[in-house]
Amino acid sequence: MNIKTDNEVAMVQIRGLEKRFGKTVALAGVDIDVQPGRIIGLLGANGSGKSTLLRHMVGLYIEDAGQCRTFGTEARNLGPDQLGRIGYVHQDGELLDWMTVAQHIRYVSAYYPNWDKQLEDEFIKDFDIPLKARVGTLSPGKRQQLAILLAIGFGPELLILDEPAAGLDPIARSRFLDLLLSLIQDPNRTIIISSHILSDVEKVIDHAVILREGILLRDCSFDDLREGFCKIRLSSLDGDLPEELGFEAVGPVQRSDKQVVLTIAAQPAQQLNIKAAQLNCGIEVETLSLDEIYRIVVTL
Amino acid sequence: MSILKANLKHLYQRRGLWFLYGLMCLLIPALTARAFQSGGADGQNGLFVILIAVSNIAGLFACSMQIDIAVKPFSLCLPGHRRVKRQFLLIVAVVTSLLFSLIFLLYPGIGVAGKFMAVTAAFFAGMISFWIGTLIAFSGNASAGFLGFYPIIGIITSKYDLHIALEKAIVAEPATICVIGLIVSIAAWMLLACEGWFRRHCGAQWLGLFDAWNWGKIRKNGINRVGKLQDGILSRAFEKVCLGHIRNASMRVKGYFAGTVYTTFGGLFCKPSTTIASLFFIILIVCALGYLKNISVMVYLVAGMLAVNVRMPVHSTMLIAGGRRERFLATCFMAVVVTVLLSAAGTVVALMTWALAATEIMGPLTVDGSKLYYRHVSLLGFYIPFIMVPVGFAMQLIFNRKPMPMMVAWVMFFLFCVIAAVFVDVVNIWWIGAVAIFVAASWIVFLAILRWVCMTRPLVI
Repeated sequence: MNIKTDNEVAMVQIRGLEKRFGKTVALAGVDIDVQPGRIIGLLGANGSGKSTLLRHMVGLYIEDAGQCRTFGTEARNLGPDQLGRIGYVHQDGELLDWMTVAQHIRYVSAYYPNWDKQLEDEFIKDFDIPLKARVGTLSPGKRQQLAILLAIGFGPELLILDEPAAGLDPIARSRFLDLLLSLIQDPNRTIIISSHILSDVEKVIDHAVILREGILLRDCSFDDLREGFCKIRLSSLDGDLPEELGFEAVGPVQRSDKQVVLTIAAQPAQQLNIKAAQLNCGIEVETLSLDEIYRIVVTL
Repeated sequence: MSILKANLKHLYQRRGLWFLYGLMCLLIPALTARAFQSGGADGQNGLFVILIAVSNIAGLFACSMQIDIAVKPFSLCLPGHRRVKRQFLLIVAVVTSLLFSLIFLLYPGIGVAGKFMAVTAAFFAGMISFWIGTLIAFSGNASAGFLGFYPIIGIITSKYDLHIALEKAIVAEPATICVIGLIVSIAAWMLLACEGWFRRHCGAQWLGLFDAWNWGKIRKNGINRVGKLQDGILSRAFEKVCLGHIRNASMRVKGYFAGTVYTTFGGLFCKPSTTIASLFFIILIVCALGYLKNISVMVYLVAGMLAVNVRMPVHSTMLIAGGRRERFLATCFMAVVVTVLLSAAGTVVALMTWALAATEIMGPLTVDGSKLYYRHVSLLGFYIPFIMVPVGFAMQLIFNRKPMPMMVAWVMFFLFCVIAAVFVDVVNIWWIGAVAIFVAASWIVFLAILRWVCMTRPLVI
């Protein structure tokens, strides 16, 4: 994310962002550039600062120190012109409870001349959204779906999704991911998605940002992150495995007399094969899931 | 520990009740002394039965506490919990009725046997009063709301001297009262054996007596109510007008103004089920206001109370593309609209008291020996919402998401204003300079706080 080419101008530029809530440090000097056309997965445990970071981007929070610029404007000074290019789904999905779903859609769409009626109709059909129901009576999942529709209906350039799939059941989540995949067909659209459900996120993201206790641990392309670690399975070809294997494990190790599975920092395949041959072992190399990578990164 | 003991522990474990006990400790000796002092040689001033009325509130509180427990789905399913509720209520009913009936030992002009009979009758009258309280608690899903009706019941009782009649009956016809009380108590005991009374509250939305501070419960209760809303011609027309203004706004900020008006008042146009209840409530207020002398300006003061509950678009969501500046402007606009509307509403209610006073339907009311005459409410109080509403909004901004401190601060301010209204005839100190200073001061304070919040504070709900 922080590798810029000349023709790329960062949509969001964050430098040394710090935020405290009382004695709690929510963000500790975070630097991020969000380039257009990316799908960024914002990963971290509860309280790691994901929502705080996203809220700074749209100007809901004001930084204690550092700088946060969105579309070239200080986030705190964002006006309708810039905010009209941002779709934002809250973690809590705060909506106007007294309205019916149809009223709510009409109300929000009234602000956007470019509202995509076709997308709205398809979304309502796909997600089976009850138009006549009062928003206050919707289940958490349906509320979340409505919040998503309201955020994407006007075709925002920057779509910020704060735990969008948290309240969705598995089928709705799968449909939502399909929808995200269709949304990212637009090369000018940037999506930032924070989620706990890493198995879902890894299907769509091309960049990953990992936070822990307000500290930025990783900000890199998803491919780079994936290539940073691998899982190897060493099987002894003759007798028991030696005590010392010469690999530095970065994750959990499963060992038996003749076989060991360990996660290591990625190395060239040739180098791994040479080492395995020296140990008189066969070697299988596997890529890690995002979930596994995440665990390694936050525990390193 | 038995289930009954565990339930009885609620009587001292709930901190909210300590406030009530404290109030009772001050009130009961005062009422007793007053009853004894003004009773004179022959009594019969109706003050002796006031404590019996307190039994009614005790019934409301005790039953509400049991419903508080019943709404938690697991509690009703636990063995023995269903039976224990009526035992709890009976114990509280007996103890409170017994305590409050002892006041009749001081009743003048009757012998020892007569006093004994009067105490017994007062005990059963207290039991009846208590069971009526429990019935009130069962009749809704937000018992705290019933507390507001007690002043109205007090006015009706006073107007028709019901308290004197009851006091006479206790002293003159103790046997009849005892028999009625016994029948009512047995009936209540048998009725409470029916599980349905508590079962229908199991897992249901319920706003208990001490839940006015609980943001989550208030929100849930509100959600429960929105399910009953219905759209009509008015709501659709209002939506059409507002959305038309949003779409066709020549300046974007005008669209936000229209949107703010729509989101603030749109819900009021789709509540046909509450229209009749609201009208009834307004009529009751109009009837009561005329007897309140200086305090009748409460109709204007209460505007600020309403303002605390009007949600400002400051902490609105990101549904619409409004920045901090737009939120500030939209809130200013909304504050002006709300103030003007509340002032107009107060003036309309005041005008209704003029109409009622002109018809002379409302006769004089005798309270504690003194006569109260129905008088119209001055129209000059229209300026009061222009002071109260900004103060209410400012408190809402300061205590965002902290309903308990906000309510305490607001009630203290409100009481201060009411007490001030008793001593100072606020509508007759009509001096344009003083009014202008107060109005300007409250708006300056509100706007300063609003600007501070909008420009420098987190805007997350």
